[in-house]
Amino acid sequence: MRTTRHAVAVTLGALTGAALGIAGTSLALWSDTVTVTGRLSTGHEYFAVGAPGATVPAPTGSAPFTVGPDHAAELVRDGAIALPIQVDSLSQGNKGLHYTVTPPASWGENVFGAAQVSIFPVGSVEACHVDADIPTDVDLASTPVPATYTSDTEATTELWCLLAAYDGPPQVGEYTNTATVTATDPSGTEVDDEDRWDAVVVRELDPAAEQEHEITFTYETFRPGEER
Amino acid sequence: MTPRHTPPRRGRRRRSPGPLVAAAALLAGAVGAGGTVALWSSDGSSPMGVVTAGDLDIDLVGSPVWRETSADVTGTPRAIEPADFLARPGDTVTLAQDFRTELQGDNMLGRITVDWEQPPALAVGVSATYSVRDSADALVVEDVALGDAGTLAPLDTDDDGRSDTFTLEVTIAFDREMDDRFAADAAAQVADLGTVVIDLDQVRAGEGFTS
Repeated sequence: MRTTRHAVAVTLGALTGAALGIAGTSLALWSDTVTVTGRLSTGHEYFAVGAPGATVPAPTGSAPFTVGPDHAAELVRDGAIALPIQVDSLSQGNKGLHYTVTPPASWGENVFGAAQVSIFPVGSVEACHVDADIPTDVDLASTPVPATYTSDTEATTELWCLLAAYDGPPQVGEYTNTATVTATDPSGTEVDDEDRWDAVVVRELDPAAEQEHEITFTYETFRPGEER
Repeated sequence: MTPRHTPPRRGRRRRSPGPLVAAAALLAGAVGAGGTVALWSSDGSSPMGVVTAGDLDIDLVGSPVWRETSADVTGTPRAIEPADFLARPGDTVTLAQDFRTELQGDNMLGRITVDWEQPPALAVGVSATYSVRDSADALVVEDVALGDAGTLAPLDTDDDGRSDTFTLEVTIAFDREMDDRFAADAAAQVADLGTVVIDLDQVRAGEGFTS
Protein backbone atom coordinates (compact mmCIF):
# COMPACT_ATOMS: atom_id res chain seq x y z
CA MET A 1 0.00 0.00 0.00
CA ARG A 2 1.40 3.37 -0.85
CA THR A 3 0.24 6.91 -1.04
CA THR A 4 1.34 9.37 -3.63
CA ARG A 5 0.55 12.98 -3.63
CA HIS A 6 0.83 15.45 -6.39
CA ALA A 7 0.61 19.10 -5.66
CA VAL A 8 1.57 21.57 -8.20
CA ALA A 9 3.20 24.63 -6.87
CA VAL A 10 2.17 27.57 -8.83
CA THR A 11 4.41 30.46 -9.05
CA LEU A 12 2.59 33.60 -8.40
CA GLY A 13 3.47 36.50 -10.48
CA ALA A 14 2.29 38.84 -13.04
CA LEU A 15 4.63 37.45 -15.57
CA THR A 16 3.15 34.02 -15.26
CA GLY A 17 -0.30 35.39 -15.39
CA ALA A 18 0.49 37.30 -18.47
CA ALA A 19 1.91 34.24 -20.05
CA LEU A 20 -1.24 32.35 -19.28
CA GLY A 21 -3.28 35.12 -20.64
CA ILE A 22 -1.48 34.95 -23.88
CA ALA A 23 -1.61 31.21 -24.16
CA GLY A 24 -5.06 30.66 -22.65
CA THR A 25 -3.80 27.66 -20.75
CA SER A 26 -5.31 26.06 -17.64
CA LEU A 27 -3.07 25.38 -14.72
CA ALA A 28 -2.94 21.92 -13.25
CA LEU A 29 -5.46 21.17 -10.58
CA TRP A 30 -4.73 19.38 -7.40
CA SER A 31 -5.06 15.71 -7.01
CA ASP A 32 -4.13 13.16 -4.46
CA THR A 33 -4.04 9.42 -4.73
CA VAL A 34 -4.00 6.34 -2.60
CA THR A 35 -3.63 2.82 -3.82
CA VAL A 36 -4.91 -0.50 -2.59
CA THR A 37 -3.67 -3.91 -3.52
CA GLY A 38 -4.59 -7.41 -2.49
CA ARG A 39 -4.32 -11.00 -3.54
CA LEU A 40 -5.86 -14.31 -2.64
CA SER A 41 -4.84 -17.79 -3.66
CA THR A 42 -6.60 -21.10 -3.67
CA GLY A 43 -5.89 -24.13 -1.58
CA HIS A 44 -5.75 -27.58 -3.08
CA GLU A 45 -6.87 -31.14 -2.67
CA TYR A 46 -5.02 -34.39 -3.04
CA PHE A 47 -5.98 -38.03 -3.26
CA ALA A 48 -3.72 -40.99 -3.83
CA VAL A 49 -4.13 -44.74 -3.58
CA GLY A 50 -1.73 -47.64 -3.67
CA ALA A 51 0.41 -49.99 -1.70
CA PRO A 52 1.65 -48.54 1.58
CA GLY A 53 4.34 -45.98 0.85
CA ALA A 54 3.73 -46.20 -2.87
CA THR A 55 0.48 -44.39 -3.48
CA VAL A 56 -0.35 -42.97 -6.87
CA PRO A 57 -2.12 -39.60 -7.18
CA ALA A 58 -5.58 -39.59 -8.68
CA PRO A 59 -6.12 -36.19 -10.31
CA THR A 60 -9.07 -37.54 -12.26
CA GLY A 61 -10.94 -38.23 -9.05
CA SER A 62 -10.69 -41.98 -9.32
CA ALA A 63 -7.84 -44.36 -8.56
CA PRO A 64 -7.72 -48.11 -9.14
CA PHE A 65 -5.93 -50.61 -6.97
CA THR A 66 -5.25 -53.58 -9.18
CA VAL A 67 -4.79 -57.26 -8.41
CA GLY A 68 -3.82 -59.71 -11.12
CA PRO A 69 -1.87 -62.83 -12.06
CA ASP A 70 0.90 -62.39 -9.51
CA HIS A 71 -1.58 -62.08 -6.68
CA ALA A 72 -3.51 -65.06 -8.03
CA ALA A 73 -0.39 -67.17 -8.06
CA GLU A 74 0.36 -66.18 -4.50
CA LEU A 75 -3.21 -66.96 -3.54
CA VAL A 76 -3.04 -70.43 -5.04
CA ARG A 77 0.31 -71.09 -3.46
CA ASP A 78 -0.50 -69.87 0.03
CA GLY A 79 -4.24 -70.32 0.18
CA ALA A 80 -4.72 -66.75 1.34
CA ILE A 81 -3.36 -63.29 0.73
CA ALA A 82 -3.80 -60.02 2.56
CA LEU A 83 -3.03 -56.82 0.68
CA PRO A 84 -2.97 -53.51 2.56
CA ILE A 85 -4.08 -50.49 0.54
CA GLN A 86 -3.14 -46.96 1.52
CA VAL A 87 -5.38 -43.99 0.77
CA ASP A 88 -4.01 -40.47 1.20
CA SER A 89 -6.50 -37.60 1.35
CA LEU A 90 -6.13 -33.85 1.67
CA SER A 91 -8.51 -31.01 1.09
CA GLN A 92 -7.64 -27.52 2.24
CA GLY A 93 -9.88 -24.59 2.96
CA ASN A 94 -13.60 -25.02 3.37
CA LYS A 95 -13.98 -28.29 1.52
CA GLY A 96 -14.08 -31.78 2.89
CA LEU A 97 -13.19 -34.98 1.07
CA HIS A 98 -15.24 -38.14 0.85
CA TYR A 99 -14.43 -41.31 -1.05
CA THR A 100 -15.99 -44.62 -1.87
CA VAL A 101 -14.45 -48.02 -2.48
CA THR A 102 -15.94 -50.06 -5.31
CA PRO A 103 -14.86 -53.67 -5.77
CA PRO A 104 -15.11 -55.12 -9.26
CA ALA A 105 -18.60 -56.15 -10.26
CA SER A 106 -17.26 -59.67 -10.73
CA TRP A 107 -14.08 -61.34 -9.68
CA GLY A 108 -14.22 -63.45 -12.81
CA GLU A 109 -14.09 -67.19 -13.35
CA ASN A 110 -10.51 -67.78 -12.39
CA VAL A 111 -8.65 -67.88 -9.08
CA PHE A 112 -10.12 -64.75 -7.51
CA GLY A 113 -13.54 -65.81 -8.68
CA ALA A 114 -13.06 -69.00 -6.71
CA ALA A 115 -11.78 -67.23 -3.62
CA GLN A 116 -13.55 -65.48 -0.79
CA VAL A 117 -12.56 -61.86 -1.16
CA SER A 118 -13.21 -59.16 1.42
CA ILE A 119 -12.27 -55.49 1.63
CA PHE A 120 -12.41 -53.69 4.94
CA PRO A 121 -10.69 -50.82 6.75
CA VAL A 122 -7.81 -51.48 9.10
CA GLY A 123 -5.93 -49.30 11.52
CA SER A 124 -2.45 -50.28 10.46
CA VAL A 125 -0.56 -52.17 7.85
CA GLU A 126 0.15 -54.88 10.40
CA ALA A 127 -3.56 -55.35 11.01
CA CYS A 128 -3.98 -56.56 7.47
CA HIS A 129 -2.99 -60.24 7.60
CA VAL A 130 -4.47 -63.53 6.46
CA ASP A 131 -5.88 -64.32 9.89
CA ALA A 132 -7.51 -60.94 10.37
CA ASP A 133 -11.09 -60.91 11.50
CA ILE A 134 -13.37 -59.81 8.74
CA PRO A 135 -15.87 -57.28 10.03
CA THR A 136 -19.47 -57.52 9.09
CA ASP A 137 -21.40 -54.67 7.55
CA VAL A 138 -18.39 -52.94 6.13
CA ASP A 139 -19.10 -49.43 4.88
CA LEU A 140 -17.08 -49.08 1.72
CA ALA A 141 -16.80 -45.31 2.10
CA SER A 142 -14.99 -42.81 4.25
CA THR A 143 -14.81 -39.08 4.94
CA PRO A 144 -11.27 -38.54 6.12
CA VAL A 145 -11.43 -34.75 5.74
CA PRO A 146 -14.36 -32.73 7.10
CA ALA A 147 -15.40 -29.46 5.50
CA THR A 148 -14.06 -27.46 8.42
CA TYR A 149 -11.50 -24.93 7.24
CA THR A 150 -7.97 -26.25 7.33
CA SER A 151 -4.62 -25.20 5.98
CA ASP A 152 -3.10 -28.61 6.58
CA THR A 153 -0.46 -29.66 4.12
CA GLU A 154 -0.14 -33.26 5.26
CA ALA A 155 -2.53 -35.82 3.84
CA THR A 156 -4.68 -37.98 6.08
CA THR A 157 -3.75 -41.61 5.61
CA GLU A 158 -6.26 -44.45 5.84
CA LEU A 159 -5.67 -48.15 5.27
CA TRP A 160 -7.83 -50.83 3.80
CA CYS A 161 -7.24 -54.56 3.60
CA LEU A 162 -8.03 -56.84 0.71
CA LEU A 163 -8.19 -60.35 2.13
CA ALA A 164 -8.67 -63.35 -0.14
CA ALA A 165 -8.95 -66.97 0.95
CA TYR A 166 -8.69 -69.79 -1.54
CA ASP A 167 -9.64 -73.40 -0.86
CA GLY A 168 -8.78 -74.74 -4.24
CA PRO A 169 -10.55 -74.73 -7.53
CA PRO A 170 -14.31 -74.90 -7.46
CA GLN A 171 -16.05 -78.20 -7.98
CA VAL A 172 -17.99 -78.32 -11.17
CA GLY A 173 -19.17 -81.96 -11.09
CA GLU A 174 -18.89 -85.47 -9.71
CA TYR A 175 -18.23 -88.77 -11.32
CA THR A 176 -19.10 -92.12 -9.81
CA ASN A 177 -18.19 -95.38 -11.42
CA THR A 178 -19.70 -98.60 -10.12
CA ALA A 179 -18.42 -101.94 -11.29
CA THR A 180 -20.46 -105.08 -10.72
CA VAL A 181 -19.31 -108.60 -11.34
CA THR A 182 -21.39 -111.74 -11.30
CA ALA A 183 -20.02 -115.24 -11.58
CA THR A 184 -20.63 -118.87 -10.70
CA ASP A 185 -18.14 -120.54 -8.56
CA PRO A 186 -16.94 -124.09 -9.12
CA SER A 187 -19.67 -125.40 -6.87
CA GLY A 188 -22.25 -123.81 -9.05
CA THR A 189 -23.14 -121.06 -6.70
CA GLU A 190 -23.70 -117.73 -8.22
CA VAL A 191 -21.62 -114.99 -6.70
CA ASP A 192 -21.43 -111.32 -7.36
CA ASP A 193 -19.53 -108.33 -6.17
CA GLU A 194 -19.57 -104.61 -6.64
CA ASP A 195 -17.06 -101.87 -6.36
CA ARG A 196 -17.21 -98.18 -6.97
CA TRP A 197 -15.06 -95.13 -7.10
CA ASP A 198 -15.90 -91.53 -7.06
CA ALA A 199 -14.27 -88.53 -8.60
CA VAL A 200 -14.82 -84.84 -8.11
CA VAL A 201 -14.54 -82.67 -11.17
CA VAL A 202 -12.98 -79.26 -10.55
CA ARG A 203 -12.45 -76.30 -12.77
CA GLU A 204 -9.03 -75.96 -14.19
CA LEU A 205 -7.70 -72.62 -12.98
CA ASP A 206 -4.57 -70.98 -14.20
CA PRO A 207 -3.22 -68.12 -12.10
CA ALA A 208 -1.20 -66.89 -15.02
CA ALA A 209 -4.43 -66.35 -16.91
CA GLU A 210 -5.99 -64.32 -14.14
CA GLN A 211 -7.41 -61.09 -15.44
CA GLU A 212 -6.64 -57.84 -13.68
CA HIS A 213 -9.26 -56.72 -11.22
CA GLU A 214 -9.65 -53.12 -10.17
CA ILE A 215 -10.84 -51.95 -6.81
CA THR A 216 -11.79 -48.36 -7.54
CA PHE A 217 -11.39 -45.55 -5.06
CA THR A 218 -13.38 -42.48 -6.08
CA TYR A 219 -13.32 -39.22 -4.19
CA GLU A 220 -15.26 -36.01 -4.22
CA THR A 221 -15.01 -32.82 -2.24
CA PHE A 222 -17.88 -31.09 -0.57
CA ARG A 223 -18.77 -27.79 1.05
CA PRO A 224 -19.91 -27.35 4.66
CA GLY A 225 -23.41 -28.67 5.10
CA GLU A 226 -23.00 -31.21 2.33
CA GLU A 227 -21.40 -33.90 4.42
CA ARG A 228 -21.89 -37.47 3.19
CA MET B 1 -14.39 35.23 -19.42
CA THR B 2 -14.45 32.66 -16.72
CA PRO B 3 -16.94 33.15 -13.92
CA ARG B 4 -15.67 32.23 -10.52
CA HIS B 5 -17.52 29.81 -8.35
CA THR B 6 -18.57 31.75 -5.29
CA PRO B 7 -19.99 29.49 -2.59
CA PRO B 8 -21.58 31.11 0.42
CA ARG B 9 -18.98 32.65 2.63
CA ARG B 10 -18.53 31.44 6.11
CA GLY B 11 -15.91 32.18 8.63
CA ARG B 12 -12.55 31.74 7.07
CA ARG B 13 -10.14 29.56 8.83
CA ARG B 14 -6.95 29.64 6.96
CA ARG B 15 -6.92 32.49 4.55
CA SER B 16 -4.99 35.53 5.65
CA PRO B 17 -6.09 39.02 4.76
CA GLY B 18 -4.24 41.16 2.37
CA PRO B 19 -4.17 41.89 -1.29
CA LEU B 20 -3.17 39.02 -3.41
CA VAL B 21 -1.36 41.01 -5.91
CA ALA B 22 0.49 38.29 -7.58
CA ALA B 23 -2.50 36.02 -7.72
CA ALA B 24 -4.63 38.76 -9.12
CA ALA B 25 -2.17 39.36 -11.84
CA LEU B 26 -2.11 35.70 -12.65
CA LEU B 27 -5.87 35.55 -12.67
CA ALA B 28 -6.13 38.56 -14.80
CA GLY B 29 -3.95 37.01 -17.40
CA ALA B 30 -5.89 33.79 -17.40
CA VAL B 31 -9.26 35.46 -17.48
CA GLY B 32 -8.16 37.57 -20.27
CA ALA B 33 -7.54 34.49 -22.30
CA GLY B 34 -10.76 32.75 -21.32
CA GLY B 35 -8.91 29.96 -19.56
CA THR B 36 -9.67 28.06 -16.42
CA VAL B 37 -7.39 28.60 -13.51
CA ALA B 38 -6.46 26.70 -10.43
CA LEU B 39 -4.41 28.70 -8.14
CA TRP B 40 -3.42 26.29 -5.47
CA SER B 41 -0.05 26.28 -3.97
CA SER B 42 1.64 25.71 -0.72
CA ASP B 43 1.64 28.51 1.77
CA GLY B 44 3.77 31.30 0.63
CA SER B 45 4.49 34.89 1.56
CA SER B 46 5.48 38.04 -0.14
CA PRO B 47 6.14 41.52 1.09
CA MET B 48 2.61 42.32 0.14
CA GLY B 49 0.96 39.65 2.32
CA VAL B 50 0.40 35.93 2.81
CA VAL B 51 -1.41 33.58 0.50
CA THR B 52 -2.79 30.51 2.16
CA ALA B 53 -3.74 27.59 0.02
CA GLY B 54 -6.73 25.38 0.59
CA ASP B 55 -6.47 21.69 1.14
CA LEU B 56 -7.05 18.56 -0.83
CA ASP B 57 -5.98 15.31 0.67
CA ILE B 58 -6.83 11.65 0.63
CA ASP B 59 -5.37 9.03 2.93
CA LEU B 60 -6.00 5.44 3.74
CA VAL B 61 -7.38 4.91 7.21
CA GLY B 62 -6.04 1.87 8.94
CA SER B 63 -5.17 -1.37 7.27
CA PRO B 64 -7.32 -3.32 4.86
CA VAL B 65 -9.69 -5.68 6.59
CA TRP B 66 -10.21 -9.03 4.92
CA ARG B 67 -13.14 -11.18 5.89
CA GLU B 68 -14.37 -14.53 4.81
CA THR B 69 -18.08 -14.24 4.17
CA SER B 70 -18.94 -17.66 2.76
CA ALA B 71 -22.60 -18.14 3.62
CA ASP B 72 -22.29 -21.86 4.22
CA VAL B 73 -19.41 -21.60 6.67
CA THR B 74 -20.19 -21.41 10.34
CA GLY B 75 -18.74 -18.40 12.09
CA THR B 76 -18.59 -16.11 9.10
CA PRO B 77 -17.97 -13.32 8.58
CA ARG B 78 -14.60 -13.79 10.15
CA ALA B 79 -11.35 -11.92 9.76
CA ILE B 80 -8.73 -13.62 7.65
CA GLU B 81 -5.16 -12.99 6.66
CA PRO B 82 -5.18 -12.95 2.85
CA ALA B 83 -1.63 -14.24 2.54
CA ASP B 84 -2.58 -17.34 4.52
CA PHE B 85 -6.17 -17.91 3.50
CA LEU B 86 -6.69 -20.87 1.20
CA ALA B 87 -9.76 -20.18 -0.88
CA ARG B 88 -11.80 -22.99 -2.40
CA PRO B 89 -14.66 -23.06 -4.88
CA GLY B 90 -17.75 -21.66 -3.22
CA ASP B 91 -15.91 -19.22 -0.97
CA THR B 92 -16.63 -15.53 -0.81
CA VAL B 93 -14.27 -12.98 0.67
CA THR B 94 -14.48 -9.25 1.17
CA LEU B 95 -11.86 -6.58 1.51
CA ALA B 96 -12.74 -3.34 3.25
CA GLN B 97 -10.43 -0.36 3.17
CA ASP B 98 -11.38 2.96 4.73
CA PHE B 99 -10.09 6.17 3.27
CA ARG B 100 -10.53 9.77 4.28
CA THR B 101 -10.71 12.87 2.15
CA GLU B 102 -9.96 16.40 3.27
CA LEU B 103 -11.12 19.33 1.21
CA GLN B 104 -10.94 23.03 1.96
CA GLY B 105 -11.08 26.20 -0.01
CA ASP B 106 -13.21 28.49 -1.99
CA ASN B 107 -14.07 27.01 -5.31
CA MET B 108 -12.86 23.67 -4.15
CA LEU B 109 -14.76 20.79 -5.67
CA GLY B 110 -13.37 17.32 -5.22
CA ARG B 111 -14.13 14.25 -7.24
CA ILE B 112 -13.27 10.73 -6.14
CA THR B 113 -12.65 8.10 -8.72
CA VAL B 114 -11.72 4.47 -8.37
CA ASP B 115 -9.62 3.09 -11.14
CA TRP B 116 -6.76 0.73 -11.75
CA GLU B 117 -3.08 1.35 -12.24
CA GLN B 118 -2.47 -2.36 -12.64
CA PRO B 119 -5.52 -4.29 -13.82
CA PRO B 120 -6.91 -7.11 -11.72
CA ALA B 121 -6.09 -10.68 -12.60
CA LEU B 122 -8.77 -13.17 -11.71
CA ALA B 123 -8.54 -16.89 -12.32
CA VAL B 124 -11.27 -18.56 -14.36
CA GLY B 125 -14.28 -18.94 -12.11
CA VAL B 126 -13.38 -16.04 -9.86
CA SER B 127 -15.46 -12.87 -9.99
CA ALA B 128 -15.11 -9.65 -8.07
CA THR B 129 -16.96 -6.39 -7.70
CA TYR B 130 -16.46 -3.34 -5.60
CA SER B 131 -18.64 -0.79 -3.90
CA VAL B 132 -17.95 2.36 -1.97
CA ARG B 133 -19.87 3.35 1.14
CA ASP B 134 -19.91 6.69 2.84
CA SER B 135 -19.64 7.19 6.58
CA ALA B 136 -23.41 6.69 6.91
CA ASP B 137 -22.97 3.25 5.31
CA ALA B 138 -24.84 4.37 2.23
CA LEU B 139 -23.67 2.98 -1.06
CA VAL B 140 -22.23 5.71 -3.24
CA VAL B 141 -20.80 3.28 -5.77
CA GLU B 142 -22.44 -0.11 -6.03
CA ASP B 143 -21.32 -3.42 -7.46
CA VAL B 144 -18.96 -2.31 -10.17
CA ALA B 145 -16.92 -5.05 -11.80
CA LEU B 146 -13.37 -5.05 -10.57
CA GLY B 147 -11.25 -3.25 -13.11
CA ASP B 148 -13.99 -0.89 -14.22
CA ALA B 149 -13.67 2.72 -13.13
CA GLY B 150 -16.18 4.22 -10.74
CA THR B 151 -16.83 7.83 -9.88
CA LEU B 152 -18.44 9.30 -6.80
CA ALA B 153 -20.55 12.42 -6.78
CA PRO B 154 -18.37 15.54 -6.37
CA LEU B 155 -17.66 16.85 -2.92
CA ASP B 156 -18.20 20.55 -2.50
CA THR B 157 -16.63 22.62 0.20
CA ASP B 158 -15.57 26.09 1.21
CA ASP B 159 -13.01 27.68 3.45
CA ASP B 160 -14.32 25.74 6.41
CA GLY B 161 -13.37 22.59 4.69
CA ARG B 162 -14.80 19.11 5.07
CA SER B 163 -13.58 15.69 5.95
CA ASP B 164 -15.27 12.54 4.70
CA THR B 165 -14.59 8.93 5.34
CA PHE B 166 -15.47 6.26 2.82
CA THR B 167 -15.04 2.54 2.65
CA LEU B 168 -13.95 0.67 -0.43
CA GLU B 169 -15.45 -2.80 -0.33
CA VAL B 170 -14.27 -5.49 -2.70
CA THR B 171 -16.22 -8.73 -2.88
CA ILE B 172 -14.51 -11.76 -4.35
CA ALA B 173 -16.42 -14.90 -5.21
CA PHE B 174 -14.93 -18.27 -6.10
CA ASP B 175 -17.58 -20.03 -8.16
CA ARG B 176 -18.71 -23.38 -6.80
CA GLU B 177 -18.27 -24.95 -10.20
CA MET B 178 -14.77 -23.68 -10.89
CA ASP B 179 -12.07 -26.27 -11.23
CA ASP B 180 -10.53 -27.58 -8.09
CA ARG B 181 -6.80 -27.43 -7.75
CA PHE B 182 -5.23 -30.85 -7.42
CA ALA B 183 -1.97 -31.21 -5.51
CA ALA B 184 0.34 -28.60 -4.09
CA ASP B 185 2.44 -28.36 -7.23
CA ALA B 186 -0.54 -27.29 -9.33
CA ALA B 187 -0.60 -23.59 -10.08
CA ALA B 188 -2.67 -21.68 -7.59
CA GLN B 189 -5.79 -19.97 -8.87
CA VAL B 190 -5.25 -16.36 -7.97
CA ALA B 191 -7.53 -13.45 -7.31
CA ASP B 192 -5.22 -10.47 -7.70
CA LEU B 193 -6.98 -7.17 -7.23
CA GLY B 194 -4.34 -5.36 -9.19
CA THR B 195 -3.49 -1.87 -8.04
CA VAL B 196 -6.62 -0.01 -7.14
CA VAL B 197 -6.11 3.71 -7.42
CA ILE B 198 -8.42 6.01 -5.52
CA ASP B 199 -7.99 9.50 -6.82
CA LEU B 200 -9.22 12.67 -5.28
CA ASP B 201 -9.10 15.33 -7.94
CA GLN B 202 -9.92 18.96 -7.81
CA VAL B 203 -12.41 19.76 -10.52
CA ARG B 204 -13.73 22.97 -11.84
CA ALA B 205 -16.86 21.84 -13.54
CA GLY B 206 -20.51 21.42 -12.74
CA GLU B 207 -22.66 23.73 -10.68
CA GLY B 208 -21.00 27.08 -10.16
CA PHE B 209 -18.52 26.53 -12.94
CA THR B 210 -18.92 27.08 -16.61
CA SER B 211 -15.87 25.29 -17.85
